[in-house]
Amino acid sequence: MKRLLLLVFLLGSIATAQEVRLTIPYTRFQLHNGLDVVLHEDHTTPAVSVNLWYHVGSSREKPGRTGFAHLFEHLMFMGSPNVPQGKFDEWLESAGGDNNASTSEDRTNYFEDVPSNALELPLFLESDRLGYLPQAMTPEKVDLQRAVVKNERRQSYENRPYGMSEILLHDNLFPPDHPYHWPVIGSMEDLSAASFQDVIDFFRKYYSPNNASLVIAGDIDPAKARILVGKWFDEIPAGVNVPPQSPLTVNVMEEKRVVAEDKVQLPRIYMAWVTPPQLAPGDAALDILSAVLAAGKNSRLYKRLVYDMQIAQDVSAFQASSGLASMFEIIVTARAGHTLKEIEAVVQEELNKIKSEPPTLREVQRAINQFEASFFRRIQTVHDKADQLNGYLVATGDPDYFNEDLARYTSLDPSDVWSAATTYLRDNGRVVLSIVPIGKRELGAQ
Amino acid sequence: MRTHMMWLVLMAFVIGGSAAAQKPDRSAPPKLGPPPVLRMGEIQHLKLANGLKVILYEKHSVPLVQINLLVRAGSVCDPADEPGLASMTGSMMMEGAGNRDALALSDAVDYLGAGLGVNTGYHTFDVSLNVPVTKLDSALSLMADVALRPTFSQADFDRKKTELLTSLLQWRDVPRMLANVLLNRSIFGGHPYGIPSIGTEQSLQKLTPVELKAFHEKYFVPTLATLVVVGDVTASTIMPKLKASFGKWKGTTPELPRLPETHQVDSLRILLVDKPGAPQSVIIIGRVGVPRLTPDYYPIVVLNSILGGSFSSRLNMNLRERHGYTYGAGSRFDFRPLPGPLYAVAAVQSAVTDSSLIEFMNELRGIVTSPPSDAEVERARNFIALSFPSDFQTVNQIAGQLEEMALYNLPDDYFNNYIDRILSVTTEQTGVVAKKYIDPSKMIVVIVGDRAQIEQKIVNLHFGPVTVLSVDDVLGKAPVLGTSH
Repeated sequence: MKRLLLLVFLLGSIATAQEVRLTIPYTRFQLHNGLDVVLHEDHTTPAVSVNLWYHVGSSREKPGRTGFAHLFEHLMFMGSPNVPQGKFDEWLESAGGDNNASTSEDRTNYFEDVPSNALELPLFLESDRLGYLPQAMTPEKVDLQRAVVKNERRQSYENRPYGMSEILLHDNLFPPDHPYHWPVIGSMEDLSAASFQDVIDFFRKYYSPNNASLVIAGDIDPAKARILVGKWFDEIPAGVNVPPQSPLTVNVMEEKRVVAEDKVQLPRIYMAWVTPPQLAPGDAALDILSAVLAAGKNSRLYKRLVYDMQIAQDVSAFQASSGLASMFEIIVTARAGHTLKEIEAVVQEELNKIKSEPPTLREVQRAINQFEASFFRRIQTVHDKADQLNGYLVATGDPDYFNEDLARYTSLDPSDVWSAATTYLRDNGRVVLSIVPIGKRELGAQ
Repeated sequence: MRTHMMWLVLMAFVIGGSAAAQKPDRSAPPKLGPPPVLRMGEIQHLKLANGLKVILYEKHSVPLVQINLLVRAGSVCDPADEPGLASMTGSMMMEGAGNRDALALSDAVDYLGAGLGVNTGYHTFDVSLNVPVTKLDSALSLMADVALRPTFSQADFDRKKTELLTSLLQWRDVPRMLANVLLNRSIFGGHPYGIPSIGTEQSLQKLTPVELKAFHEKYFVPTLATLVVVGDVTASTIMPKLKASFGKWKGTTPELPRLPETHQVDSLRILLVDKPGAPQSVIIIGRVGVPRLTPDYYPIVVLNSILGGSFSSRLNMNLRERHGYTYGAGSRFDFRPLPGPLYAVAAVQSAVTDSSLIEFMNELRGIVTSPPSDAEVERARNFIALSFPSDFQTVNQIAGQLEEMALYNLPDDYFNNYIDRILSVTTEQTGVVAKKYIDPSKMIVVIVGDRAQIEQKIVNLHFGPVTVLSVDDVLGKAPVLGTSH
């Protein structure tokens, strides 16, 4: 639903066909106030996606004000001087448009998907709040969205089985002063502490055209679209410069074991490591490794734990890539009557195995083929294309990075995957989290 | 001089602005031109010699193909004492087919980068394939194996059964699942819609692979099926492949079960399921709705958007944006061959469960006593109609639309006319359907939350009788699992 909190995991792992090379043509310019703009023409459907990224996420927050970037995202919908509260959605709906937003560690994204005749409306709406939001902001609005966000947290975390797992993993894996230590949703205490003045200060610091990138994809006339962008955004002056954040080296030098109780029927184990950031060396190999370990019935962990031994209900593994660092996770839910010690023993065996011997060519190629196919699936809609163009622009400077991204995968061989396992999945540098039913700590992997 | 200045301003405007950029007029949102019209391409209707219907829609923008086999049988075909039979049959079809066991099948599908799965609903099976067009031939062969020659081996059956029973166990943790199961049972009673498709612990324990095989043989016949093909193919390229994969498929048309009628809820009852310590309550309020082919379809679609089908809907604006009780509130009419449920739902902070229920009832009453206004209706019509073309971008979306067309025998021009039909709905019509279908005095209210916090306050509202239930009451006793294999 609206203003859904999205932890953006997989940013750049898109694959193109080995036989067919697809390009996503675009034009690009920058306004005098620093706003980066990318236009992509696609007349397949009479629709346009307007996709705006602000280069601020939870990683810019300070302890004591966690959850602020996401709360601010909610406040962006509370009205601006020429858009009375409630009209943002009403006007877009009246034009047949969908809209939403999401916040991650690294960025806050706002989008509107509209029929092609309605392109100018999102530009009017976005520029009005970019330029003038504080003029319409009130403490009452902050209080209201604070309550909404707290309910979002309850729905996604406190009231969901295993819901607190990601919070616990970040908390234990990243040091307290690392920007990824706290969850994007923030803590209830910090949300309570967020003040009206904080909102104004945050806006002045981070919400400027020079700290944003705008992508428009779909049934457009690029020349006309360019004029419209200028019409609505030119007048907004540049704001303060936002220095980039450099990836902080995180050296996890120990194994931390945590046991937590929750209202769950079955115990679940999480293993997590800090790994290279999105697009960095090792990132793609870790994607492939996660598939070799847990994608499909023939994957190492599924086959042993779920299919053969039947001591697990489900397994998953993924490389959650972000701008400053990534997290590699292995997650296994035990079947009734089995403990996480049992589960962990098998996981450890498989980790040892994949570190001592590269996976087979078939395992690796199978995984690459799946990434390749998912590339095609993810460029079918103007919405997905717009978001991906923006993601590539921000991460690499090149919006049409699709083929380069694919090449990260198709160039991998089994030894690369083995190397990633030995280098990044160290036994003495990880968090092992057990979530067990209340009163059943003995089922955990202490 | 003036000409020169004008030229400078013009160039500055075109290049992207300068310090002397003009301020746009923000006093009103920009006027928009006429919305584009949806023009679907040709929907091709073809047939194999064995009578299997094929619906083909070409889309060449991305080299993908979606092929869905729709079979008009589902869990409504379960014998009364065997709920879960259809669903288990569907689940088992991916666990070994043709010459491949479950592992070999999975490996083959995964290696192609294909997505292949079987979904079972109340009235339909859906075997769906999504694959890059370069891998179509191999993938289609696997799909045909799954659809026509599933193995149903005992060992895989036992393994799958444990998996499904464990899923049922896990439902006990998920407030929304508990709410759904209880609501549907309370609205529909013994009618098939009142039973989860997955069945129950008891029924799953009694099933055998022999019955699954018999069910599959009985209902998977060409005369009950339609193939929907969307993507980067043409009739001349795809038909020979379909003929090779499905051309020899035979079977006699079975007798389909006569389905009982649904009976409307006749009073307001509140059912409270205790989830101790829950920080939120899930509230879901429902009654019997309408079938898909109701003559009131378009006005209902518009009405629902206003009530709870959009961000600016009455329910969401009240419960979320005015009161902050929830992250989101909504409503839905579930259209099926027979009347499915209509319901309103939200997850609200525990402390305001009673206040939220008051607001829910205010809106459900209000939509009848203060029916939609012209402004609401115009906004809702536009939202639905004008966003409609965007639902035709992925091969998966388009295939789903065509499956609906096939299931309900909608005419080919249905999509092209949809926008006009929605835009023709009048304010008066939405008022009429609100009065006809929404009666807050005859609904089931299910609340899954912390009884200790909320029960007394709910009782004090005096909305209707309040019955407290345990999770056992909703799902039965927890399945006893955990014998090692």
